[in-house]
This record gives sequence, C-alpha cells and structure tokens, in this order.
Amino acid sequence: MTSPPSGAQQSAGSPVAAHWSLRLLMGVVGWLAATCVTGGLAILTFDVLELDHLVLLAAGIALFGLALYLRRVLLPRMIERPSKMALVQFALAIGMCGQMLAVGGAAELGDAGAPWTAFAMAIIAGWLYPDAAQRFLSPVIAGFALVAALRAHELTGGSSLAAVLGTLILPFFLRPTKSHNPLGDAQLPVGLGLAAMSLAMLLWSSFLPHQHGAPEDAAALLGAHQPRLLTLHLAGLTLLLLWRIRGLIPPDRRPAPDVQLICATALAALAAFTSSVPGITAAIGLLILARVRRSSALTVMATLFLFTFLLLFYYDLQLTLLDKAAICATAGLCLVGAWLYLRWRQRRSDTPSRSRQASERRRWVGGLATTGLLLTLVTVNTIVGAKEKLLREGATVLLELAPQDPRALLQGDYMQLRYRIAEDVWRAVQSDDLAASGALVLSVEPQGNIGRFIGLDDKAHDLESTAVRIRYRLGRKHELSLCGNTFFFEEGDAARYEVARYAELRVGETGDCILVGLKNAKLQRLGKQLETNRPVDSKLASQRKRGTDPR
Amino acid sequence: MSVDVAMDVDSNGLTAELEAHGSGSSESPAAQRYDLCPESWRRFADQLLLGVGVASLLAAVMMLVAYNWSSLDRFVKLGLLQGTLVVTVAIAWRARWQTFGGRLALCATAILLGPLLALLGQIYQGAASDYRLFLLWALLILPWGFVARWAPIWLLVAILLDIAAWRFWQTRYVALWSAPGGLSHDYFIVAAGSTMALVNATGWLLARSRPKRADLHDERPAWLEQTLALGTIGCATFAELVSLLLAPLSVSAAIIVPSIALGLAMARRQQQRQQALITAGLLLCCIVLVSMLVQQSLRAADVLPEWLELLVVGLVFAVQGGVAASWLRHEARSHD
Repeated sequence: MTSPPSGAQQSAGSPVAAHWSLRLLMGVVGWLAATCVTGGLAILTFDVLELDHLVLLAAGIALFGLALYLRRVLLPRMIERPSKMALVQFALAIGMCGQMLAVGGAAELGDAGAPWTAFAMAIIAGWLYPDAAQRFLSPVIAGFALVAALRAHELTGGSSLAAVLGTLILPFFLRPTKSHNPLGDAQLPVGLGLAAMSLAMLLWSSFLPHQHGAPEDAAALLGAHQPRLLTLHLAGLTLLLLWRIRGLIPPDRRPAPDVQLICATALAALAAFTSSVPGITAAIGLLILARVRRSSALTVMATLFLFTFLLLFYYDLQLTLLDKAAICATAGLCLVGAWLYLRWRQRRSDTPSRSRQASERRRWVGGLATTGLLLTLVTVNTIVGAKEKLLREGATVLLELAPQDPRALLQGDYMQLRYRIAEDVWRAVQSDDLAASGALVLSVEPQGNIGRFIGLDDKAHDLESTAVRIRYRLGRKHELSLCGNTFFFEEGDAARYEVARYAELRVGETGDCILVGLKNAKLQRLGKQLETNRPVDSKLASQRKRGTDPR
Repeated sequence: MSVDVAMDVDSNGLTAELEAHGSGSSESPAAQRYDLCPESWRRFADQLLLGVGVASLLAAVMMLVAYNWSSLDRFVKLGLLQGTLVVTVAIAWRARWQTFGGRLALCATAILLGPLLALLGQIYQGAASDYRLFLLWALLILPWGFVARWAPIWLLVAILLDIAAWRFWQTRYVALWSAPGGLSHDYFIVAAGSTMALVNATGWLLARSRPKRADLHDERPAWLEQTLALGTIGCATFAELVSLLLAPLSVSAAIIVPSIALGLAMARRQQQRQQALITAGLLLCCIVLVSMLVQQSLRAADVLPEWLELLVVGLVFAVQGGVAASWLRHEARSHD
C-alpha cells in the first residue's frame, strides 16, 4: 500500500510549528470543534427534524467518504500553508464524525448492528485513511467494538480474545523498520494502537469479569481459567521475543548460558507465580518490545499500564489484599533475585570501575539522609507515644452510631461512622452562630459511660465532674468528625461490625480523643480493639470505671 | 548485605548510547536494527529487573498494610515498617547515594514512608486519607530528595502536595466558611484547583532554575518541568471551568478574561523558549476557556436553540484553532 505522506511530514515546514505537541493541539481543537458540530447536527436530526436512522447511517458513510476524498485526493495537491495543517485535522475530524454518525444510525439495525458497523468502519478507516491519529485509534475502536458485538451475541470472554488477537498481531507491526516496508507509514501508529487496545482489553478482562453472568457451559470453564491462559500466552510471547533476539546475536557475543537461563527462569517463575494476574507479565513483555523497537511511546505506555494495573488490582475484590500482597511480593522477589544474580555474575567477570566521589561530599550527603531518617522515626514514634498515652489515661466515652463503608487509598477497608449527636451539634452551631469546629461538652452516664450532648463549649464555665470536653469538626452534610470518623478493620471483617451501635472513645483532658473500638447494643466489644494496660489510679478513667466493661 | 548493590551506571546513559552506535556500525543490518550491543542490553536488563521488581515489592508492602492484619500486634507492624525504612536507607548508602541503585533505594524509602504514616492512621483510627498524612509525607521525604537529586522523588513530592491540597479543601472547606446559606460545598473544587496550581507553579519555577554547581549530579530533566507546567495549567483551567459552572457569569468572566490574557502572554514566552509542549498546553487551555465562556454566555442569554448553540461553539473552536496555527507559524518564522 502506498499512501500519501502523513500530515506530520507535510507540516514539517518549520521546526517549532511541526512539533508533535503543536500538531496534537491542532488535532484536539479540530476534534473538539467537530464534536460540537456533530452534536449540534445530531440534535437537529433526531430531536428537531426526527429523521430516520437509516438516513443517518447513509449520511455518516457519505461524510466519511467526503473526508477520505479531501485527505487522499484534494489535500495532497495543495501547497504548504498554515491553513493546510488545520484542513488536515478538519478532514480527520469530519471522518471521525462520519464514523460516529454511521454507528449511531446503525443502532436501529439490532443490538449487534452498531458494534459491527463500528468494527467494520474502524478497519476500513485504518486501512484507507492515511493519518497517524486515525490509524492509532482504529485498532482501539475495533477492539472495543468486537467485544461489544460478541456481547450482543451473548458471547463472553471477548475482551480476552481481543487481547490475545492484539498481542498476536502486535509484533508484526512493531518490528524495527526495514528499508522496503510493505506497510509504509501505517506500521508504527497501528502497532501503538494495537498495543493500547491489548492493554485496555487486559485491564477489562482482569477487572470486569464479574459484571455479567457467564453462560453455564464449556465456555464458563474456559472463562474461569482466562487469566491463567492469558498469562501463559503473554509469557510465551515474551520468551519467544527474547529467543528471536538471542538468535540475532553472534554466538561469541551472547550472554553466558547461565545468565540466559536465569533470565528465562525468572520470567517463567514470575508468570507461574502471578498466573492469576496477567498484567505484570504483560508490562514486562511490552517493556522488552519497547526496547527492541526503541520506542519511548511504548515505554511510557507500558509504565503507565503497570501503575494502572496495580492500582485497579488493589481495589479489585476477587482476591484478598493478603493474597495480592503475596503475589506482588513473589513477583518482586523473582525479579530482584534475578537482578542480584546478574550483578554477582558481572562482578565476578568485570573489574568494577568505581567512580569515586569526593569523600567530604559523601559524608555531607550521608549526614542529610540519616538526619532525614532520624527525623522521620522521631516524628512517627512521637505520634505513637502521644496516642498510647491518651489510650492509657483518657476517659472512656461511648457514642451512639449509625454506620456505613468503603476502601481508602492506602489504609484498606474502613467503616464511615455517623454519630447520632451530629444533628444536635449542627443545630447548636446554627443557633449559636459558632464556628463549625471547636469543642463540645458531653455528659457521661456513670453506668455504661454513654455520652449525651449537652452543648458547645464556651470555655466560660468549669466542667462538672461527669462531663468531658471533645474537639469536633463539622463537615459536609452535617457530618460530625470527632477523632476522625472512620473505623479501619481487617479485610473480610465487615460483617462483624455491621451490628455496631456505639463507638468507644478515650478522651484526654485537652479534648483530644482516640477511637478505640466498636460495641453492640448490649455494650459488648466487637472484634479486636486497641488494648493497653490502663493504670488503676488514672483519675478521669477511674472516676467512671465501675460497671463499664461487660466482659 | 552480602551483595554490593552499588550500580556503576551513569544516570544519563550517554556512554551506553555512544557504545551502542560505535559497536553497531560493524554489525549485520539485523543487529543494527535491533541494537544488539551487549552493554546496552545489560543496562536495560538491570533497569527492567530492578525497576519492575522494586515496584512489585512496594505494591506488596502497601497491600499488606491495607489488609490491616489484626493477628499482628500493632507494635510489631510499626517496628517492621520502620525497620524496612532503615534497611532501604542503608542500601542507598551502600549503593553510594547518587547511582541508579542508590536513587532507586531512596525513592523506595520515600514511597514506603506513606504506608508507615497510613499505618499510624489505621492503628489509631485517624481520618481516612487525611490531608495531614500526605502533607507530612511530602515534608519528611524532602531530605532524601536533596540527597538523591532525582526527578521522580521531586515529582512524588509535587503529587503528594497536590493530594494534600485537594483533601484539605474537600474536608475543611465547610469548617473555614461555615456560614449557613453561604457558598455551596462544590466551591471546594475551585479552592483546591487553585491551590494545586500554586503548588505546581512553585515546582515549575524550581525545576526551571539551573543548579548552582555542576558537580552536584543534579538531575532535572525536561519532562519534570513539562509535567509540572502542564499540571499548573491544567489545575488552573479546571478551577476556572468549575467556577464558570458554579458562580454568576459576571464574576467568573472577571476572573477568566484576565487569566486568558496571562495565558496568552505566557504562551508567547514559552514559544520563544522553544517549549512547544507547554505552549500547546497553554493555547489549548485558553481556547477551551474562551469557547466555554461563549457557550455559557449564549446559554445565559437564551437566544439560540440548543443545536445552533453547539454549532456556534464548534465554529468558535475551529476559528481559534486556525488563529493559533497561523500565529504559531508566524512566530516560528520571526524566530528563525
């Protein structure tokens, strides 16, 4: 296929205007404009004129045809002008809009109509339309359309299938360029598009398999082993790639046999230990491919994919966090182990070329790093000490609850606590026109230590002996935060805390408090809670000690 | 540690490139295409195994902390994590600080501090994802940033400060302006976006400033400056777009019009500095702001049907794209 030169090369008139980011800017603006125009036209045709869907399908195809004519016939004849760069992007945007309109029109042809049309148009556009952006997007659209089409026919596992197909075709498009290349300019954009599509499908198949019911047949059995088969496939491809590279190196320059063996074994072991998680193997395979192709775009894609994969893996609920930690640790140990072996091997064969730095400077740097470490450890342990003191000496107060629950970024599963006194506090804040943060006063019943809201602390009066002061903050929707209004628990223990009725706090004399645990309606402790050896003579605590602990 | 983890790799990889090209000239065409220089592949293997391996180990630690294992005593958990921190600093010391291994170990230390602070919040039931966690995290890793002088650590600091700013306004907004019947809670997005833009802008300025001494092995690559600049522009635009949706049109226009002027002036400056990516980001944000301002004005005036309004906005986008293209071409010519 001989295609006309792409917009990238045509607009290479001046060094700055031809920078990829400026072409991207033109593209994004052109696409935004085209989206607005298409949206306006869609509203006009559907809501105002109420045209038939088949007209829309025909209009879409015609629009795409027009874009193709502009791009392949008219634009190559134009001389280089600034407007040409904008026209190239405008033609691209019109072509994209034509595809969208056609897909929208095909939606009336049955459930599978729209996805199959999108699939067909993506393939045709990728083949015929000589633009890098179109060729990058075509495989991505085709992949998603294929999955949607298969799903419309009630076939599951489409995402895994698309990932496998994508990774099988990928190497042909990402081979380093030969002098006579049958695929022309299309090779790299399509290759990058296929890589992006395969990675997206891998994420989809790894983290969305339970959102639809699998059919009760042989496919279901295959479906259960999907991640393992995918990992096996990816590991096989990666090892094949390394084997091909090894074949190209003259025998006398190859790495030693034991080094080759260790690298292959580390990869195989990694794939075996992380078989339920294809993402790590995929990232490594793609990074190696990026190195072979010397493509920084692929390197960035693989790195971003690895981070996205690990983040989604963290939030995924198919395995417990303990299992996930074990899988990640094993993967890390395989790779770091192989690295340590390579270092050891190299040190035996090489004489290390140590680049000595000035010892004075290293001492200074070492001092700063150690100071940082000491500062960190002192800060952390000071916080621990203060919390432990509060835990030992604080007064016990129970507050009635109405709970709910999600997962935090770093801290795991927790329960969002809503205190029953929140509404009273909100009313008091509104009527007294006080700040949304300050201190409140609770009266504590000697029996059971249950706290009742008396009022906001005006600091004018001394507290009664049965009252305590707690610092509070009001958030959105009258949400009352005392010592943080979250209760963290071990993953899988959610059911145990569902019956919680009271939060047990320890309150210090300055109004600081700490959440110790949760209790049910009979004031029995639920699960494990913060324990410490409380001194018998603690004045605030001992005051209300009688009859508090039902155990 | 029985194995010396010191890495003799120079961080810019220049030597490897020279070697690769030097040796490649005598190789077969296939070998040239695939860059089969053993030294550069060895370096690649080092970085791949160590990079992905350390990332996996860090993910494992974070997941283990998040699991909140109740059978482990709280002091054991705290001791283990603090011990890990000491070990990673020791590894960085063995690796002689500013080598790839040393920098990676310091970066791992900086990341591991997060799980340690999260663990404190988890044990003593502090607020989930509290802004103080991220702020303290960012401040405590600064010394290691100065030791390593490595862009990923500075980027981590910027990201942590951004998250801290977001979480601060998300949770403390009501506490600061609690007057009943005051501004809606969604305004926290405007406040948070502006603060994040300020944080990123400070980082951008610092990343642009040249190191005073060349022998400090200070690594401030172009991508750090570009990322921080785009972060600044993106956060500011996001805040302004949200204020456009929330506030009365006259108020938001009074903020947006001067900021578009500022954006264009900055775009000109960046264009002269040959910073094409930042120029493109600035121009895109200005174009989006102008178009959205037109769209909101049309909606407020309520003179056009919805479809025509969209067509007009589309036209506004297209015209601005054309103007930007001609301007860039003109600037490039006058620069030449």
